[in-house]
Amino acid sequence: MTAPITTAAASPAGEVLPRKSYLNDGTTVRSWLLTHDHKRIAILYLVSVIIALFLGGVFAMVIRLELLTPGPTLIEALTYNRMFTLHGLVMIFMFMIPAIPGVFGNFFLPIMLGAKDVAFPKWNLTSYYVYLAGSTLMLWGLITGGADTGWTFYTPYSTTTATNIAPVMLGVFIIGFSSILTGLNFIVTIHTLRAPGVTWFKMPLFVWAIYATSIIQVLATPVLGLTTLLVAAEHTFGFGFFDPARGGDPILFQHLFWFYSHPAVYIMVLPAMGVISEVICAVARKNIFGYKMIAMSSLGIAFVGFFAWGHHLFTSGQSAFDAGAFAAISMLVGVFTAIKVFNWVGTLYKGAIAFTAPFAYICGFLFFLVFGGMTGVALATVSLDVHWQDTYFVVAHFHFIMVGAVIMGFLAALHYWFPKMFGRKYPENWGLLAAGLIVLGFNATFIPQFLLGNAGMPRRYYEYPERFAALNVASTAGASLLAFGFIIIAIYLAIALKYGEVAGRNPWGSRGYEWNVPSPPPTENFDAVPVFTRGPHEYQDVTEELAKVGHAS
Amino acid sequence: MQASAARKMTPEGWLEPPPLPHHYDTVENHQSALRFGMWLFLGTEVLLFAGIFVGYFVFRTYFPESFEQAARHLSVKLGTANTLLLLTSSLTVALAHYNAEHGKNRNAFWLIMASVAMGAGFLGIKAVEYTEKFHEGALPGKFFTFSEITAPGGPVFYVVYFFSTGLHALHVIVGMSLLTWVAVRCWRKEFSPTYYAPVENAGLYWHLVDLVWIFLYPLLYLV
Amino acid sequence: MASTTHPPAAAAAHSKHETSPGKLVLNWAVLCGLTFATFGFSQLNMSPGGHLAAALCISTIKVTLVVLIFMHLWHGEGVNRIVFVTSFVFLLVLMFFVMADVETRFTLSNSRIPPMPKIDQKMMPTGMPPGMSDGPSSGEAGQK
Repeated sequence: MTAPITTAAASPAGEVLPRKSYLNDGTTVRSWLLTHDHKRIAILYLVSVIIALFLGGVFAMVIRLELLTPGPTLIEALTYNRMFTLHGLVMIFMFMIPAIPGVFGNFFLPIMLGAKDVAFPKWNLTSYYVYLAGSTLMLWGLITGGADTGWTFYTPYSTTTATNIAPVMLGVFIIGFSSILTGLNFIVTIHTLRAPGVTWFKMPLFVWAIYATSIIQVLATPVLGLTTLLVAAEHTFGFGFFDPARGGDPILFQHLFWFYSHPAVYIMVLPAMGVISEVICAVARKNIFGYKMIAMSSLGIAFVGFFAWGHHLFTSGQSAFDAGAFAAISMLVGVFTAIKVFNWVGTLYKGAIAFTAPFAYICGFLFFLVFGGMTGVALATVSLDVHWQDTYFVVAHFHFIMVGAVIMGFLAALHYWFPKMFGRKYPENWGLLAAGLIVLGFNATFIPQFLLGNAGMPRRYYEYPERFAALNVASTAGASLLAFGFIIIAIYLAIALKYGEVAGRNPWGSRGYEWNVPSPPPTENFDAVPVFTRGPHEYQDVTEELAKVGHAS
Repeated sequence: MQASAARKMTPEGWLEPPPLPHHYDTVENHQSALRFGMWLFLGTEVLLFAGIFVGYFVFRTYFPESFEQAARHLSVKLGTANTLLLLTSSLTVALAHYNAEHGKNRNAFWLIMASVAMGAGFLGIKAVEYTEKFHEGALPGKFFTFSEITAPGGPVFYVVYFFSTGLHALHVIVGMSLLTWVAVRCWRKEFSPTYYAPVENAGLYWHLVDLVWIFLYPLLYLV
Repeated sequence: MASTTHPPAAAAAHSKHETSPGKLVLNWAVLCGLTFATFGFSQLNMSPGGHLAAALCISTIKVTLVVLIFMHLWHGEGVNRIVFVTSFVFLLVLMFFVMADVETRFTLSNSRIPPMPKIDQKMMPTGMPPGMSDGPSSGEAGQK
C-alpha cells in the first residue's frame, strides 16, 4: 500500500512520497469536509486558525498604526475600541485556544499513543463545525454591531453599551462548546486508546501537555459559557445581575469571567510547552532532562492555574483577603514553569544542537517565557499591580507569553512537524531568516510597551500624551517587522507544500513515536497495533535501529 | 448513528450490536470510553450551573430579607411536586437502564416514556408557576413590579430564579429529547446485554437534570 | 484502568455488579423521604443560617445517593468518580473565593444599604497627589 521506506533515519536524495496517504485518500471536497480522520480534521483546523491569525494580525496592525501619533491618526475612537475588541476576541477564541490542540493535538495525539483515531471521531468533526459556527456568529456580531467593550466585556459597560453584544456573546458561547468537545475527546483518547506498552510514563510529553490542557478546557469553559449567557441576557433584557443600579454586582462578573479566563491562558501556553518538550530533544539529540518533572509540572500548572484568577481583580474592588490569597497562589505558577525551564535548559546542555528554525523558535520561546513569566510574577504582587494594572505593562506581559511563548511554540510545531504532515521539507535558510525577523520584530514591538506601561500609559487608550510618542512609534515599527516575518513564513511554507524536498520518514532523526510512521501518514496510521520499544525521548543509545512498528512499510 | 436496518435480529429477540469502530480493540473498551465521555460532559454541566449557584449565594448575602420574602411567595406545593416528579423519573430511567442491559427493550421503552411524561409534567408545572409570576409582576430586573416584596433586591432574586430554573428547564427539554430518541431505539429492539450504552448515557444526563433540581428546590423554595 | 493492556474486568464488573430493581426502588423511597424531611426542616423555627445548613446537608445526601446508586458510581470505574468529584471540587473553589470576597469586602462597596460610617476628617487626604497639577476643582475646598 505504501512505498518501501529506506532504513536510514536521515533523508538522502531519492526519497519518494508514499503513494497513498491521508492526503490523497479521497480527493473530493466532500471527503475532506465530512472526514472522520483526525489528520484531515487537523488540516481543516490549520486552515481556519491561519485565517484567524491573519485577521487578528490585521486588526493589530490597525491598532499600531493608529497609535503612531498621539492624536487621531487613521480611525475614530469608536472604531479603535472595536479594533482592539476584534483583535482580542479573534486572536484568543479563534486562534490561541484552538490552534495547537486543534491542529497538532488532533494530528499527533492518536499517532503518539499508537491509536488509529481519537476516541470519538464524529464528535471531533463536530467540534470543528461548532468552532466555525461560533466564529461566524461572533464575527458577524462584531462586524455588524461592532462591540467596543474589549475582549473582557466587563459589566456594567458591556450590558449597557449601545453596540450589539448579544450575538458576540452567543458566538463565544458556541466556540466554548467546541473547546469542551475537543478537550473531552482528548481525555478519553488518552485514557482508553493507548497502545500496549505506552504506559502513562511512556507517553510523549506533548501528550501530557495536551492532557493537562484538556482538563482545563473541560472544567473552566462552562463557567465562561454561563457568563456569556448572563451578559447576553442582561444586555437584551436589562436584568441587572451585574448592574449596581439594579442591585447587581459587577465584581461578580469579573470573578465568573476570570475563573475561566485565567485557566484559559494555561490552555494556550501548556500545548506550546508540550511542543517545546518534543522539539527540544530532537534538536539537541539528547534525552529529555527530568521527564517526570516536566509531565507532572504540566498538571501542576493546570491545577494551580485554577486558584489564581483574582489577580485580575486586584484593583477592581475585591476584598483584601481575596487579593492576598490570590497573589500568593499566583506565585506558585512560577514554580512549575521554572521547573520546566530548568529541565529544558538541562536537556540542551551538552547536547548536539543543530541550529535549525525549530531551534531558533525554542530560543525565542525560552527567552520570552522567562521574561514574560517573571513580569507575571511581578504583576502578581498586589502593591506593584496597583501601579501597573491597565497599563501597557500588562499588555506587554501577556503578549510576551501569548506571542513570545505560544506563537513561537506554534511556529516551532509547524516547522518541526511540517515534514511529517505534508511529506516535504521547508527551505531551512528562509526558515532561519523568518525566525530571526520574528524574534527581532517581537522584541522591537513589545519591549517598548513594558517601558510605556511603567511610565504610565494606559491600555486601550485611543489618544495618549506627547511624551509617549517615541516608544509607540518604535513599537509600531517592530510590529511591522513582525508582520513581515509572518508573511515570509506563509509564503515559503505554501511553496514548500508543492515544491519542497521530499522529507522521508524521519528527517530530524527524532525518537518521537510519530516519526515511526510514513510522511505523510496513511489514513489508518498503523496497519497493526504498533509496539514501541523505546521511550519517545530516549536518544542515548547510538545505534539508529528503527523502532519495531507493526507494519511492513 | 449506526443504522439499525443493517443489523439482524438475534434469536434472543434483540438486534445484534453495531460493529465495533475500527480504532477500538474490544467492546468493553468502547463502552467504557462512551461512559467516561458522558461523565466528563456531566462534569462540564456541573460547572455550567456552578456560576448561577454562586450568584444565588452572593445575592442572598446582599439581600437576605427580599430573598426570604420572595421564597415565601413561591408555591412550596408545586416545588415539592416537581421534585417528586423528577425523582420518580430518575427511578424509571434507572430501571430502564436495567431492562436494556438485559435486552428487555419493550419494558425499557415504556419506562423511558414514563420519564419523558414526568418531564413534561415538570415543565407543565413550571409553566403554571411562570404564568403566575407574570401576572404578579414578579419578574427579573427592569420588569419587576411585584409590590409584595418590600425589601430591596426583589428584581435580583427573580433574575436568579428565572435564570436558574430557565436554564434547568432547557436541560429538561434536551434530556427529554435524548430520552425520546433512545426510546425509539428501544422500540426497535436495538439494545442487548452487550450494547446498551445509549440508554445508560441518556439516563446519566437525565439524572444530572435531577441533581441540579435537588439543589435548586430547597435553595429557591424553602429557605 | 481502561487501557487496552488491562483485561476488561472493569466493564464486566460494571455489568456484574448491576443494581437490582429492588435497590433502585428502595433508593427512590429514601430520596422521597429525604424530600419530605427537607420540607419538614424548613417548617421548624431556626435561624436562616440553620435552615440553609440543614437544606444543603440533606441535598448533599440526596445527590450522593442519586450519583452512587442511580448513576452507578458505587460500582463504576474509578475514573468516572474522579471526574465527578473534581468538577464538584472546582465548583466549591469558585464558591469559596467569591463568597470570601463578598463577606470580607468593606460594607461601603456592598449593595446593602448600611448606615454611613463615621469618617475621621483629619485622616482624609486633601488636594492632589504630589507631582500632579491641580485641575479645575471638583467641588472640594482642597488646599494646595
